[in-house]
Amino acid sequence: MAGRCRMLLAVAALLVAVDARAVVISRIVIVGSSVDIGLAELVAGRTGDLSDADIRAIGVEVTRRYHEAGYVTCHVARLVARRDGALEVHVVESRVREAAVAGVDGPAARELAALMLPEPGEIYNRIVVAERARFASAALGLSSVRVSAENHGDGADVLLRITALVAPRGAVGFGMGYGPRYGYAPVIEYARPAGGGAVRSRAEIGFRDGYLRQGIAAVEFDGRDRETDGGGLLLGARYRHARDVWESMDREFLSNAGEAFAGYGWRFGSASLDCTFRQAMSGLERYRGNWYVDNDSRAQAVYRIADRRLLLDRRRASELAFSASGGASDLCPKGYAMAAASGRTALVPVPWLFVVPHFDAWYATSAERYHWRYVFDETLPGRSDDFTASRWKHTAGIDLLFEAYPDLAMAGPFAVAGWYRNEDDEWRTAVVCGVRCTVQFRGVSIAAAWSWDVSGPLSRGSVTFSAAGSL
Amino acid sequence: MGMGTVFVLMGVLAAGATDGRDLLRELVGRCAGVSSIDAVIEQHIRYPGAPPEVFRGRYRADAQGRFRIDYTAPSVQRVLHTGAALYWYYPADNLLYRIGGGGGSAPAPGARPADELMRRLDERGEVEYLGRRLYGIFTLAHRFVVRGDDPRVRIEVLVDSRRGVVLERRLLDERGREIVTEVFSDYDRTQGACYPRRIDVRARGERGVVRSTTVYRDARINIPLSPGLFAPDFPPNARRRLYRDR
Repeated sequence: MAGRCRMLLAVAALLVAVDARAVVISRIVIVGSSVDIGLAELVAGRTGDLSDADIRAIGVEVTRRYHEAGYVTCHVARLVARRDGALEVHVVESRVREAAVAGVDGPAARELAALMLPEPGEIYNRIVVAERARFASAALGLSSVRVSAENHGDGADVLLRITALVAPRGAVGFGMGYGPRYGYAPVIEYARPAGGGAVRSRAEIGFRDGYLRQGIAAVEFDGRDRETDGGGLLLGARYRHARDVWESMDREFLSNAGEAFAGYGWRFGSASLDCTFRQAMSGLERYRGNWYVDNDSRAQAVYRIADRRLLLDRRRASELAFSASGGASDLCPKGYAMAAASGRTALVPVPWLFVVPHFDAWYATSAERYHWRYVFDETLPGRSDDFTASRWKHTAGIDLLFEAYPDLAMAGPFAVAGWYRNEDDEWRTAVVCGVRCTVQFRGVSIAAAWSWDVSGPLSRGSVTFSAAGSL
Repeated sequence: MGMGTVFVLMGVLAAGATDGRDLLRELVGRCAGVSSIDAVIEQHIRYPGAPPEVFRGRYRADAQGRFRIDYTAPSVQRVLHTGAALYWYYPADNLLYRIGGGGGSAPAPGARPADELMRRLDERGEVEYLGRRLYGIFTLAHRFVVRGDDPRVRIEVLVDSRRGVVLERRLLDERGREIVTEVFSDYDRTQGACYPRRIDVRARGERGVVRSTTVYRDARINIPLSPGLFAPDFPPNARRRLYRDR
C-alpha cells in the first residue's frame, strides 16, 4: 500500500511538472539522493530527444529502483526539464525520526528501540528493518517483533511503531467432558515453548458410577519448530490407569501402564510423519481372572495431512491420518500389529451450513482385549450401556451443522454407520443418529451431543459433552 | 505421436503459460455491475476473547468507490469514504477520525467484490489460472492466483464458473497460511445486477482471529443517490484526529 500510494503521488507530480512536448535532454541529474543504489547507471544513456512519456518513465524507474532496494517510502517527487538540457530528478527520501515501542517497557523497550533504530535520521528501508526485527527478536528472547511505518507528523519522514510479543511462558488449557465409557472427565493441560519446539503435559481423570474409570498423566516433547518445515526429536512418557470392561464376560479388569517413547518427526507444509519406538510395562489385574505383568515393545508410525494450521476458520479444516504400529509383548510373544486410518473434511456450500463427512477405521491383530477399542466410543456414539470391544471396526458418517448465530453457535443432525467385529468374533453393524451443538464464547468452546442407535435393540441413547478453554 | 497430438500439447502448454487476467476479466464481466446500492446492513464482529458485537445501520455506495454507513446500533456513528479519504465520525463525542492519506483508495465494502478485484488487476502484476476445483458440494469454481509487488503474499481468488461471481478471496503468506479470507455468498441477481448479500471476513490479528459477518437486506440497486451524500459535511467544531497508516 505504501509503495502504491507513493507511486500515485509520484505520477501526479510528474503530470504537473513535465511539459507535454518532446524536449532534448543532454544530461540527467538526480537531486536529493543519498543512497547508492545504482541510479547513475540506471539513467545513463537515457538522454536525447525525449517525449514526456519517456521522462515520466525515468521517474517511475527511479522510484521503482528505490522500492526494489527496500526504500519503499522514497519516491520521485518532481521532474524538471531545464532550458540548458538538464533533466532534474528530484527525490524525496523518508527518514526514520523516531521509534515507538509497545509490548515491553523499561530497559527492554530502550534496548529494543536501540536495536531497531541505532541512528535516528537514517533512511527508512523495509528490508533492513525486517532484518533488525529478526535479530532483535532473537537477541532479546522475544516471540516476535512487528514493525509498521507511519508518518512522522505531516512530512515525508517516518515513525517506526514497534510491537514486541513476549515469548509466552506457557499456556494452560482446561476442560470438562462427559462420555459413556469413562464418565465425567476433567482435563488440564500445560504447554510451553522449549528449545524451538514445545513441551506439553496433560492430566485427565474419568469418574463413573462411583469408580475412577481412567487416569492419565502424560508429558511430551516435540522438537520440531512450529513455524518452519523440518524434523525434530520426539520424546515422552505416559501413565494410564484404567478400569475397563468385558461385555461378553460381564467383568471388569484393571490396568496400570507406564510407557516411554522416543523417536523423530518431520513436518513439511501440511504433512507430518512421526516415527517412535515405545516401551511399556503394564500391570493387569483381574484380567481373564488372573494377574499379569506385560512388557510391551512397539514401533509406531503416524502420517498425517492436515490444513488446520493454515486456516483462519478451523471448522473448515480437513485431515487425513494413517497410523501403523507393531511389536511384541509377554502376552503376545509372537507379535502383533495395529493399523488405523481416519479422515474428515468440511464442505461449505453456503456459509451457514457445514457438511462434514468423516470416517474412522481400526484393526488390531492382537487377541488381547486390552489392545482393543470400545465399539460405542466417540467415533460411534449411541449406546451408553454397551461396552463391547472390538479389534476390527470401521465407521463412516456425516454431520450437518447449521449456523444458529454467526461464528458463535452451530447445531444440527448427524448420522454414523459402523461395521465391527464383536468380542465373540461376529461381524455386526450399527447405525447411530443424533444431534450436536457447539458454542464458542470468549475462548471457551462447548460441544454437546445426544445420539441413539437406531439399528439395534432399544437403548437409552448416549450423551456426550465437552467444554474447553485456555488461559 | 501424431501432428495433432503435438498441436494439442502445444496448446495446453501455451494455455498453462498464459496470464489468467483475461479469463478472470471475462468471467467476472458476466456479472452485471452495481452502480449504486442502498441497503440495510448488519455486521457481527468478534474479536478474540471478546463477546460478539452487532452493528446495524444503513449502507450506501456508488461505482466510484464511495460509500457511507450510518450506524444506528450499538451507537450512532457515521463512516464515510469520499473516494479520497475515509472518515469515522462519533456524534456523541463529536469526534472525527480521518483514516488514510489524501490519495487513499479504500475499497467499498461489499457492493461488488469483482470491481475491487479488477481495480487491483489493473495495478498489480501477474494473474495465474490454476484450473477448476469443487467448491462446497455442487459448485465448480475457477481458481486464480494474483501476485503483486510483495513476493511474500499472494491472493487466491475463486470464481463461480457458471455465474461468474467471486466466491472467495484469500490473502496467503509464503507458507500458504491464510492472513485474510473473504467469503461472498447469497448473491442477489433479481434487480439486473449481482451483489453478495452476505460477506464473511476472517483476519489474522496479533491476539487471534478477528471475524466479521456482514449481511445486506432490503437492498435497492442502481438507484440515483443524492450527490451530497458522500460530502464530508461534518460539524466544523468536531474534534479531528488523523490516523495514517502506510
